[in-house]
Amino acid sequence: MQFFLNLGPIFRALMRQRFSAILVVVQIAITMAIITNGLAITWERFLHIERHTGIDEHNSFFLTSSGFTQGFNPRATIENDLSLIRATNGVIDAVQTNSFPLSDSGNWYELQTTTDKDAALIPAASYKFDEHGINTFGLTLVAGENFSAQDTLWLDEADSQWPSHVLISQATASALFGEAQWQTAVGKTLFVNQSTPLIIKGIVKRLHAPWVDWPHVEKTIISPARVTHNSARYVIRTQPGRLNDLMQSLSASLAKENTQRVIRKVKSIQQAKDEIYAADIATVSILLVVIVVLAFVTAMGVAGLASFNIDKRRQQIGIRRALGASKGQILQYFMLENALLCAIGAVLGVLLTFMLNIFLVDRYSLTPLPLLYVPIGVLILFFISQLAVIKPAVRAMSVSPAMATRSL
Amino acid sequence: MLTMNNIGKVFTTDVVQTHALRDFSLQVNEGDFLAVTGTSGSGKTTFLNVAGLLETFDSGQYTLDGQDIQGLNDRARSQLRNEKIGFIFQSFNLIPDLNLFDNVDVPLRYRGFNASQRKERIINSLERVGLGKRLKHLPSQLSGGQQQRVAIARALAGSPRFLLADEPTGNLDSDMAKSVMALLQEINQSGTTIIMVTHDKTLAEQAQRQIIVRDGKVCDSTGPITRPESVSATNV
Repeated sequence: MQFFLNLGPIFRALMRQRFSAILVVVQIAITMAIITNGLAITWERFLHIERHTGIDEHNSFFLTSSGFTQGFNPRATIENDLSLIRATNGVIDAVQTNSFPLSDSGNWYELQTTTDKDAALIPAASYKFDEHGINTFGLTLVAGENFSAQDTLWLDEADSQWPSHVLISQATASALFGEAQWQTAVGKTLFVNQSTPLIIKGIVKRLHAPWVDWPHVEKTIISPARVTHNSARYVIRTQPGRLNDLMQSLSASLAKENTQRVIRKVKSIQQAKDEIYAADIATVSILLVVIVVLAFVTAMGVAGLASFNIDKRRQQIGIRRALGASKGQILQYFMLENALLCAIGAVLGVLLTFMLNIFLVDRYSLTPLPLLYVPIGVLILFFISQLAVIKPAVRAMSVSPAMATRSL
Repeated sequence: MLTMNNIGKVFTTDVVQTHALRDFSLQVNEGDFLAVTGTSGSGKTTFLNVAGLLETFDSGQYTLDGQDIQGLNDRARSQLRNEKIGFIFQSFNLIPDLNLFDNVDVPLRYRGFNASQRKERIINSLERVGLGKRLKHLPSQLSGGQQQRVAIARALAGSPRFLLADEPTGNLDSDMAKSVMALLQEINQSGTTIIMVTHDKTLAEQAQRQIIVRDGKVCDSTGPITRPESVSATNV
């Protein structure tokens, strides 16, 4: 209690040195506004990058087989390639697909539960792969069942035909049938483009769309189909630790197996992820650097001003020591003085934080700042400023009480 | 009450050792008003610093109010200084950012008095020096004599056994100096022991006793000077 009662004279003394006190307060407030908003943006982008796409990102890669001769047979090549890949030691499973999460290419359709033109349209990214897709991508089937081999259709590139059964993601099921009713979707019919009926055979827990910034990224539909095209894309899932060697050996094997095509674009899913999130990773990195540099500069500023003020008050410290202050009480005085400035700075900082956030939301359509970040910002600034003042305060502690009898 | 036996204090730099006090021996009794005089550099301020526990000493024995000072840690020395000693400095040493009330409050907070006890002591001591109506004034709004009165009020507020004054009238004109000396006399008559360092012989003559310090030793005395019995046989 005595500790807090000391705030009164400290505050009154600070009011006599308004300029340096205001400098510290303003510096803390501005730093808090930037750090708090910066942290919120950084964390939001980090969660965006790190969110789970639903597939086994760490053990999967993809490659493209592009036929280039007149006599190239895409269907036979796909069948042979899949047989070879799936039989390779270290491969868990493989699939030919039109697209996959993080590929940034694909197509989407609007889904409905009725053909009524006024019914809500649910956008969903479309994937086409066979019954091996669940195992290849490492998807979790949470309702219904997987396709069978008989469900799979061979489609031409221009073919607009749909198989009779589809799988959908849980998010798609929730959007179509309601959050609480998603499990009841199995066996029900949905309509593509307000006309084509499809029966829902199963629901996968999560499978993201190919585009990471698409607002409906969690909504996907999977149809059991293989598209015959000179260029075929395979996604291959390997056993843990086998990714790199299989990327090389399988590329070579496939190229050797059929010389009428080339194997290209061999990349791990993780590489694709790094590329697609390069701008976000750069943003996060730059923001983190800015936050750290700003925190450091603020700490230096607080330490510098504290040092300056302490040097200016050396005789005053000596007087306090002569009047009975112990070293610990001198340390406490300066830590408390700094805490008081930090508290005032934090009040101003909260206002500035919200003002900056309103500007950012308005100008750049960012997410409004979650309130939790405000106390986090206050704590960070409190920690930084207290840490910064320790060294000058310890120096103040060492001022001899005999300083009181020395003339300056 | 205050006994120093053969106190030695050496200041050491890279090139020279200065013996500020050598075999400094003195006894001050309760109720004394002792003036310590000497030329500049004679060691009188060092004596005051050691007596007031502002500095440590290198050799000898120092007992303050029955307590052996040697070996006390910083916390104990600070507490003893706070409880038993009041200081009056030549340049007043008020804290310029604090008003009179808060200035007098400084040692009382370190003492741990509660708010009402502090308030009563602050008002009483400022009234005693004639500044009871200027509680909210800043030191800069007062004359030198008034500032020294505030310093005296601050020294008295904690009811110390000793008042150590370092050239208390050094920065005052003669009228103000007289008034401050009169106040010190009054304080002494009410029972507080005063040790006053001064180079002003006129002021020193107003004390009950005088000692002259030269080369870090007590070299002469007037009035009923008392030296510790244990050293009187060997050093005097």
